[in-house]
Amino acid sequence: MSTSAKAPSIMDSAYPAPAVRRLRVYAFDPQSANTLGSVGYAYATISLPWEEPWEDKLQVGPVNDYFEVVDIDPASGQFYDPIDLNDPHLLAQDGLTPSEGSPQFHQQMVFAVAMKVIGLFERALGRKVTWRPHWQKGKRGWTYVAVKKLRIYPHALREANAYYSRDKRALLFGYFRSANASAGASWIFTALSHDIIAHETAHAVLDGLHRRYAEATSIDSLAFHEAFADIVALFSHFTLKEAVYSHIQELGGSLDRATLLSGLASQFAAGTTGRASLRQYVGSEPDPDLLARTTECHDRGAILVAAVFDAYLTIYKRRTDDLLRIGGITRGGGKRLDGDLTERLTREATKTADHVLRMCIRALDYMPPVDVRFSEFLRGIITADNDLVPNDALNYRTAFAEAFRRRGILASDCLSMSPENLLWESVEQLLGGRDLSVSDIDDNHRLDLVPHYRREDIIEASEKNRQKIWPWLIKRNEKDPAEDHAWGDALGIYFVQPKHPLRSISAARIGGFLKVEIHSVRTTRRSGPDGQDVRQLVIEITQRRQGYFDPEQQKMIDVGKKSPGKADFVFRGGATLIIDLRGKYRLRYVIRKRINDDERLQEQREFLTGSNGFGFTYTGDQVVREPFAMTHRGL
Amino acid sequence: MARKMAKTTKRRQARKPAAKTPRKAPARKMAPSKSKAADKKPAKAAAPEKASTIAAEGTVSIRMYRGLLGDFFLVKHKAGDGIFTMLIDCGVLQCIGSAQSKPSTSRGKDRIKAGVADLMHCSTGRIDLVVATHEHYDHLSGFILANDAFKSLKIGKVWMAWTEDRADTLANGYRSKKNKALTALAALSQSSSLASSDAMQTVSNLLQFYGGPGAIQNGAMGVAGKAAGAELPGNASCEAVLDWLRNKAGAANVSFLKPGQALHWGINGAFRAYVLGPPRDDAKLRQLDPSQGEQREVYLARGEDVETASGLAAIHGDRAGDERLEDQPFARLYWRSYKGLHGGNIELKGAKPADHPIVKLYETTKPSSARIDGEWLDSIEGLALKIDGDVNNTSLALALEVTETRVLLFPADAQVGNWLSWKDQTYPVDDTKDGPRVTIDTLLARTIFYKVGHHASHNATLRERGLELMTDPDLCAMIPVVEKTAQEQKTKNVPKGWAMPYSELYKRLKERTSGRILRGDGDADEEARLFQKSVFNLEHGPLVSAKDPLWVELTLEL
Repeated sequence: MSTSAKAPSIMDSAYPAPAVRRLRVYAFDPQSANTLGSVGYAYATISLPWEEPWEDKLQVGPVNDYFEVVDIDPASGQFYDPIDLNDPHLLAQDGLTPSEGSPQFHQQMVFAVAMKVIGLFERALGRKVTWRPHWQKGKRGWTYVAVKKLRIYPHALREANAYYSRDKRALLFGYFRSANASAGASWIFTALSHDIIAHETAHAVLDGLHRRYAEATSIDSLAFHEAFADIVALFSHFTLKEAVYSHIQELGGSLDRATLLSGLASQFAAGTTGRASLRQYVGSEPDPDLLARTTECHDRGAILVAAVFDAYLTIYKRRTDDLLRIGGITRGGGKRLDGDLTERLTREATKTADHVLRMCIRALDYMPPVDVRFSEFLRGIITADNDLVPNDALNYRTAFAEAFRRRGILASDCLSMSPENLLWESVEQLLGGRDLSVSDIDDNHRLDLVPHYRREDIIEASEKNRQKIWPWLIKRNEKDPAEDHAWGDALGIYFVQPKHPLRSISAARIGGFLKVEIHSVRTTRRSGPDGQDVRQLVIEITQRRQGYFDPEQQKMIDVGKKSPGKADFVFRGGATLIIDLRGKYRLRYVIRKRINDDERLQEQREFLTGSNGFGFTYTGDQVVREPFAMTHRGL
Repeated sequence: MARKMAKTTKRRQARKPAAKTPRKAPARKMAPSKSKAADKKPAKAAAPEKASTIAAEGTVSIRMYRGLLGDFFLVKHKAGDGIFTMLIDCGVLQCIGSAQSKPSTSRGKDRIKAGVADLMHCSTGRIDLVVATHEHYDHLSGFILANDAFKSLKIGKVWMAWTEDRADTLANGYRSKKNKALTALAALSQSSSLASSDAMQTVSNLLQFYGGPGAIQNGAMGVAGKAAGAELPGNASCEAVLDWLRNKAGAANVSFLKPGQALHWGINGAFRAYVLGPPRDDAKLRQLDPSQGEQREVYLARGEDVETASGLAAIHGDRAGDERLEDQPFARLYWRSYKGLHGGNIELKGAKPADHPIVKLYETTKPSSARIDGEWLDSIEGLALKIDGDVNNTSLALALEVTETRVLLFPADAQVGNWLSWKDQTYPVDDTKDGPRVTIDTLLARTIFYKVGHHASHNATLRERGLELMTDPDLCAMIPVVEKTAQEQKTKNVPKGWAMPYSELYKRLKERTSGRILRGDGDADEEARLFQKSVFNLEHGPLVSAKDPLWVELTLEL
């Protein structure tokens, strides 16, 4: 296992590269491997696609195109030798055997699970995952600079905690000594919990995609981040065939019982609170009023996850009712199922989980750029799915809509909670028949729409496109000023001060214009189940406005009676544009959050000043340093 | 469960006054006083123990010694020739650092000595009742700093919170966990290589409340603390002060109070005192789920965090080097001793990391803020904050009733959990079994004097369930604060020092009291003006320097 020994380089091999690299991991965490009931499916083997020729080679660490695993442990004053996954001894046996005592296995496991999550996202999104860029001043002004690799520190902290650090662009995992006997180990490593790794990686991916979602703008915003990270971790369980098989067999084809599968981070929970899981997504009856009563972000997020999980169970049931009838079995009747039937049911369960997770991930492109709400996630899911799979033969979308409704997640601005009405409005609907042309987007500055494979090229192309679209958007239409106005109105922002001005939006240096940011530009290419091919350009445009805790002060500044001083908070508006790239470019959707929405501004104000159950006392300036921590430190 | 315990103790308490004969009071048969209760509820007149004719009369005054970031209050009841004195805390923040860098803080020591001299003079060396609210230096250090002056002190009785009771298993469990955590924190704060980090500065800052690392470590090793007869050594810990008080008063005169209890104070026990907190509810204490909002655990730092800190103290602390296998997560085979930015004290055996590409990658991380050398220290900081909050939450919170519609509120430094628990019980307005009881809302509505919690910091005055319920138009407040001293407590994380008083709270306090607020650093003339219309008479003590009286006192005619 020497790391310095020169292994024959894989590159030089005379044989074709293998399709996948197989790595063993704990399916859940070490606790399940030490429990008789679950030992049969406590281990899993993750198959990662072998590096493509244009990707960075996998190196000692592991370090690859996406991640750098750096195993230093300052708390214990240690550095641990990095694992070399290309060592022939490891290649011949799917990596190291799972073991709590070997730091090298920890490195292997965080790497493998994090890469598995990347795979889930890339398949659904139809493009490569990129990390949150740095905003830096370069030679030609401020620009986004790509962060190519995310750091992973498997032993960064000595505490019951783990987080994705936005500033460090790193995943930090902690370990701790448990005071509870039920955890079955004296040391508990969050880097060995499949769920915690998946959860934190999902935070990082989501933050790379929607940087503004990490801002606490409403009780939904941070909750959505937590919920989404849990959805990824949870449905990742259902890709573990052995575990699903065993549960289905024992529970007579039913999955709606609280089990290891439907809970998260068992060992972590046992080691801290002494409970069976950190969060359990089965067994709580839907209560439409619960959402309104819940304000803590993990708890609120749990309601969203539960809604998605309900939809999953409904779809799974519908897909398997016939199989159980053929087998003459009552679902959950307590009878141990026979092998063939279990095999078929397992296939349905894992396939459904895959579908549901993909629907959730695809929705990310169909959401507003700022201040996301749960109902917008639902509309994103429905619309994205409708675009890719127009014929919803198995009623997936109805299952989602109903599950959300039963958990009290309602889209108040829609006519009803039926899937047709939950679709985002088309541009025609939104603008009352007027069409906005995007056909000239490409005229002056050719956009780079060629599919790239190398992640650096993708990031670079997207940054260049971003800079090209800005002049297109900001350019005044001298002949038809009404069109400029229509664009501003459609995007929910202002290019120039309106008749009733909002002086809290700052002016750009160029005469007369207000500051507008092209937040991101990305291209996607997805394939539906029947060979549908969807190619889209997604553009996010945002604007910021100075927010003040005192509504009177806000009013005075808005009308220009007072000069805008230091803002108490930032209020953002903007829109996501989805452009169909097939044939003539066509604007499909504008998903917007208006900058002049004073009701939303007031909501954010109330949320931040904490009259909303956020604070019991007179506190106002507590800064949460790491918003994505599993547990928040201090008081 | 809590209710039941409270009742048993109450009975024990009720008997006590008969056994003791307070000093100045004329010999009297003390029926558990009923004064207000009897007035209030004539229907209860037939109760077995009828009210004596001793009505509360005379004056009640509250004196705050000024110039201290610390609590030092003297409450007096005078009637005829009689006087009853109650001392609520006597402490000032420790000055860690030089007098040049913290001029205001450094003056605190002399101020409290002057205050104690004054106290001993006007109480003729005897205090009927000493209330020690909680184990923080800024509430107890006067007993250490002015120990000479206190040598001849005679104490009638002592009240402490149930959390200080050595015969209480729950309290002992809590205290041993706290002490273990403090010992670990003190050891870590002594490590020179960690000292410069932001997190450790906060830790050191918080350790001032326990007399600093030295006092804690001495306490842990049993070097200091043992109150040797009448004397407290200069390096004594707060726990030693409590021992000293216990010895001084005699164990039989010390009461450990539980929420829901009512006791008597004043001449002939004329008044009632209601114990609001600290909360004691096994179920709630064991309720460890941190996501339960209001149900949030009140004062239990998590066991695993304390364990972790102990392990880290062994690795990094000032006595690091006693390498212990169980403090390392992995077997020796895997050890590669690595000193990051903060690794100065670490001397572990084991191979050094070779000139490894991963180590190089780490050391050339850009920007360097993405390194994680000191990241783990944040958990230590978190633990220190948690312990600090825990100890504040063990504050003995008292509502002192002076007439049947007027209450003086002394919550010490109670934080959210403590305040929230006050509604978990009701308070007996007389000493009859199953007699009438009042709720906390009623007591808060009757509050005419509020000793602002924790020097008016942001998190020790509840809003909706606290200040907003104090609706009496006569409300006045005292804040034992010196803003300059608070501002001197700067660290990298808190560049402006502590926000005491916290502006938002201060603003609201002014509104609620129509400006009738007395501060430890208040302008005496301005205060006199604002208190012209008040139910209290205002008086300032002798001048220490120009415009700076030693104390300020409010007196209420009954």
